[in-house]
Amino acid sequence: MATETRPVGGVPLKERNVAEQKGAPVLTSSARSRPVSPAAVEADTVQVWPHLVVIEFLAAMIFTIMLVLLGTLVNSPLEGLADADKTPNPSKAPWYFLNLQELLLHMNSALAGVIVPTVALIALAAIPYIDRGSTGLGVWFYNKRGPLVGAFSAVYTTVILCVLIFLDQPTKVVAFKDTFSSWLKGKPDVATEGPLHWLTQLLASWPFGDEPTARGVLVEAIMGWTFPTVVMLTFIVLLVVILKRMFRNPPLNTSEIVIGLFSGFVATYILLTFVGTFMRGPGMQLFPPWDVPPTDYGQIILHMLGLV
Amino acid sequence: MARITSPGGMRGRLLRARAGTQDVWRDVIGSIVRNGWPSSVRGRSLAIMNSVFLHLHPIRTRPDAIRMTYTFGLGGISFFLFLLLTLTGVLLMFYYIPSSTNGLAYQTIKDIQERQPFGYLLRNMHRWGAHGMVITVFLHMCRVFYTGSFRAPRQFNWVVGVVLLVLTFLLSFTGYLLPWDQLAIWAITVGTNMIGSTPPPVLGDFIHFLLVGDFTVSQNALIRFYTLHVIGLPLLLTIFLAVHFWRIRKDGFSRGLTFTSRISDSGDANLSAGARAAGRSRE
Repeated sequence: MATETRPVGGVPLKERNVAEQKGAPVLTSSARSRPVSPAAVEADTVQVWPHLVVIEFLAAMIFTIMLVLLGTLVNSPLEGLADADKTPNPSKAPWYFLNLQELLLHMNSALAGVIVPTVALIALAAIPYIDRGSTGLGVWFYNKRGPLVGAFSAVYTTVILCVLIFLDQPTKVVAFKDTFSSWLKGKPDVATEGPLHWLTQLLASWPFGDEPTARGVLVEAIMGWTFPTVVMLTFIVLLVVILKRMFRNPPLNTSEIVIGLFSGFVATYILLTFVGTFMRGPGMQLFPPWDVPPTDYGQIILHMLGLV
Repeated sequence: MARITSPGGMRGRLLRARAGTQDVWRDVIGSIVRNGWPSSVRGRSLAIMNSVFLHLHPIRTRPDAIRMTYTFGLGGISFFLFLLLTLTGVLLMFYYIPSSTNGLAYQTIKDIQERQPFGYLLRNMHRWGAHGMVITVFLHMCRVFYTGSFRAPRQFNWVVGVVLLVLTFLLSFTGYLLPWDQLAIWAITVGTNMIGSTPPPVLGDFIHFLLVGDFTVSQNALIRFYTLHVIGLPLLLTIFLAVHFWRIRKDGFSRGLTFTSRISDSGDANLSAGARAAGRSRE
C-alpha cells in the first residue's frame, strides 16, 4: 500500500479500517514521515462549533424536556415511614442490585454479594489489558463475525440462566403452579421441591453424626460455595469452547472471545435484573412476570406501560 | 468608535447618550464573549478555544467520530444527567433534613412534595434522572466496548470509566436511603447486609459497621449516606470525570483523530498511531 505518501487526513475511514484489519500500519508511516498539512486536516474534518456543539445542545434540551415530562406524569414512590420492626415482604435492594440479590438466592451470600461482583468488576476493568489488539478501534462489533459471536453468547447465557434459575427453586416453583398446573401434574417432587433443593436435602440427611452445625457447614460448603462456583465456571468455559467450535475458519482471536464473554456478562446483568425485578414476589418466590404480586419498581414500570 | 456629534440641542444630547450606552453595553458583552458571534472559520475556532467550558472540545473533528449512530451521545447524556442531578439535588437540599428523629427526614420529603412549589416535580426529576444516569452510564460502557474504543491508547480511560460506573451505582445507592421510608431502609438493609457478608466474617462485620455506623440501619447510617451522597461521592466522581474527559481530549475521539495534540507534539505526530504501532509489535 502506498501509505508512505498519503496524508493522514486523506485516508477515508472505511479504507483505513480495511487496511488496519489487514494489519497494515496506515497511519504510522505517514505520521512518522512529516507533519500533516493544515489543508489536509481541514479537508477531512469539520469544526466542532457548530457540528458537535449543536448536537450537545439539542441532546441537553431533549433530555431536559423528557425529564420534566416524566417528572410531571409519574410520581416517585414514597411508602410509609421507615420502621425497623416491620420487614416488608419481599425486601428488595435497588433495582440495579437485584441481579446480585437474585444470585443470593442460589449461593452463599459472600459469594453472591461480594466475590462474584468483585471478580466481575476486575475482569471488566482488565478488558483492555487482556484484549491488546489494535484492530477494530472505532468499528462497531469488531468485524463481520462480531455481532454473531455477541448474539450467540447472549442467547446462550439467557437460556442457561433461565434453566438454572428454574431448576434451583426450593419450594418456590409453587407460585408457578397455577400457571402451569396441567404441565406440572404428576411431577409433584420437581414442582414443589426443585431438583437442586432435593440434592440439598439429601446432603442434609447424610449420616454425618448427630451434630447439626457440622452438617450445616457441610451443606453450605457444597451447595453454597462449591456447586455454584463449579456451575458458573463450567458454563463460562463451555461458552468459549462452543464459540471456538462454531467459528473455526479462521479461528477466533482474543478480541472475538472477549466480545463473547462481555455479551454474556451484559445478558446476565439484564436477565438477573429482570428476574429480580419482575419475577420475585413474597418470600422471593419465583412468579411469572404477569402474575407477580405488586412490588415497588416492577409495579411502577408496568403501570407506566399501561399494563396494570 | 465614531461618536455622533452633528445634531445639537436636546435631540443631539439624547443621541449621544444612546450611543454612549451602546458603547458601554458593547464593552460589557465584549468583555464576556471576546469574539462576538462566531461567523467565520477563525471565529468558530476561537469560540471553542476561548471558552472555559467549550475548550474541553477539540477545534476540529472527523465527522465519523461524532455521528449519532456511532456514539448515541451516551457519555454526554450521562454527564448532562449528572449536572441536572447536581442542580435538582442542591435545590432539594434546601428543604431536606437528614434526621430520623420523629421521622423528620421522611416528613421533609413529604413537605417537599406537597408544600413546596414544584416540589414533586423536583423530586421526580431527581429520582428518574438518577435511574436514567445508571442506565445511560451502563449503555455508554457497552457502546465503548462494542466499538473497541478501549483499545490503545485508551486502556486506562476504560478503567477510569469502570470506576465511574461503580461511583454512579454508589451515588444512586446512597441516595436511595434518604427518603427514609420503608422502601429506603429495607433496600439499604438488604444492600448493606450483602456487602457485610464479605469473608472473613470479622472483615465483613467491620465493613458493615463502617457503612452503617450501627448494627441496624438507623440515624448513623442516614447521616453517613447523606454525607456521601451530597458531597463525598460527587467530589470523587468529579475528579474521575475530569480525568476521563482530559484523557478523551488528549487521545482524541475514538473514531478519527484529533489534530490539536499532533500539532502540539510537533514531529512525533500522532500519539495514538505510535501507541498502535507499539501495540502491534506486542501481538
